[in-house]
Amino acid sequence: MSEQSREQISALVDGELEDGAPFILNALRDSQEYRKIWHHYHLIGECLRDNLPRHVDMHLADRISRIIQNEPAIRSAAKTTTRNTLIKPVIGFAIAASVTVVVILGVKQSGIGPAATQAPMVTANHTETSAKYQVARITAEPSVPHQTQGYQASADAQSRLNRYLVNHNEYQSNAGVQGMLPYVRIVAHEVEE
Amino acid sequence: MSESWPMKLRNKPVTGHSVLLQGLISAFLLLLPSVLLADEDTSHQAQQLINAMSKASKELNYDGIFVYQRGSQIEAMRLIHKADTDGEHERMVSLTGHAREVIRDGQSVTCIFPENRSVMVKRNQPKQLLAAQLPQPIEKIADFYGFAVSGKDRIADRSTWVVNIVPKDDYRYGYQLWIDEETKLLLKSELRDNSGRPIEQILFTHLDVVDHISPDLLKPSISGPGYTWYSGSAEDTPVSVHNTEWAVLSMPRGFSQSDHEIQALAEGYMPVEHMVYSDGLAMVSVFIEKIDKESNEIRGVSRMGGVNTYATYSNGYQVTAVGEVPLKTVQSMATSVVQNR
Repeated sequence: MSEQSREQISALVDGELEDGAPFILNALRDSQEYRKIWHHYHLIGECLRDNLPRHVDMHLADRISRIIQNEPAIRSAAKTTTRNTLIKPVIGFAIAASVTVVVILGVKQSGIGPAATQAPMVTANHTETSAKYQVARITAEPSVPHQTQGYQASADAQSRLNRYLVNHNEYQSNAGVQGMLPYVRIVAHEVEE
Repeated sequence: MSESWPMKLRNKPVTGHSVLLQGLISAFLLLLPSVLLADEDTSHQAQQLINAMSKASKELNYDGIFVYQRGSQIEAMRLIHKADTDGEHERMVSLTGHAREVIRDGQSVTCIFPENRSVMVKRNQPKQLLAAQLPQPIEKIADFYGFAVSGKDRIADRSTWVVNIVPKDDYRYGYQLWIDEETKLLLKSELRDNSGRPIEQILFTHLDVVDHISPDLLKPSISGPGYTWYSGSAEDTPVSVHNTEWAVLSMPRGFSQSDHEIQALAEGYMPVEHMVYSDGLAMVSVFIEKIDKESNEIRGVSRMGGVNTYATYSNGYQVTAVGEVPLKTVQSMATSVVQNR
């Protein structure tokens, strides 16, 4: 690779390439060597800006693309989604979107009737904060009357589902046999559908 | 071209075939007992591997990067696990998108969502109560799932056993597990629907099993201004209850109640009854919550990867079943909840 090409890649990484961009972009598309240099320059840049995590996995992206290529699940995903259109999610489990307040999942003494609701809870300004966040997609099931829920109700409903999910996961994580890492679904980001 | 062949040549393969077939059948019949035996053997081996995996995942110190995929979505995460005399400590953090984290230890589970600067803390049950939710022995699970070791594979540069768990009916999901030969840790897992299609999966691309995990690695990466941290006191734990006015009338064979607790939630919420049912592998939670405003009810299905949810509402109570099972299982459980009084 010529010194000039290296300079052009460097300029591209810095967003300063004015001439020759098409040539370099084509080269990046076609040449592993060019991509490697491009990657290294980015790494150097991030290092200089002190943006690097403690561990940098240089091959993660490659491995992920290889995995995606060979993954039957991905290949069948298109089919799966069309087939599932009958089952419409009523509420997306948009975890973070609706965890608008810090919720301490605490105690209520057993044996006291449902009237005992004065559980020791932290005060959080629920009404004010929840309005800022995403609305749950709530649609009525065909068999039930259409619901007329407002913004607040949606956030409440979604927040409730989130709490349920965290509680469920805690049991799952204590189970003896685990086929899946339980909290992975909480760490994962919701898909916009 | 075959028309030019002499007649006897054309006939010959037919005779050859039937002889071969007879030979094969008798060979198969002779081999049958050992084939069955071999099958039996991998079922036992598979169960041993699964038990070893459960133990290893709780007792070892490890730090790995894995990919999580559901549908067309794919994300990378890091999992750090430490086991010491205090018990287990674990931190899972997303490496893609927002750096969400879940940190858990014997006392609590903390979920951090940097995108809206919120933190959610769940206090755990006191340890002695956990006995109630210990899983059934794997032999019991074998009534509802078939187990087999289907071979070997290589994951994250490690040699693994491939173990299949196949449900015997369509009320539960199956798994294919890739278990590290050396450490017995789970390196890849696919949750599969009844036609064997993967619903979601995890796959480690890198895993270090180490002697020590620095406590720094288990600390949340976020802190300071902008975040409000709340923590409950030690008494703020859910309590187990043994009698309830609620019952789930319909559930798949093999499911039984493994725990039951009542917990209060945040201010403004009524306490929630949480009943846990399990067939030893799959778990379904049924939540029952009195809601004061009818407008806050949830009805219908929701799906997130392998977790299905079915919510219904009756007489002022929100009933929601959540589990890593097919939709029809949570639906039949949620809709069959009755109040015994």
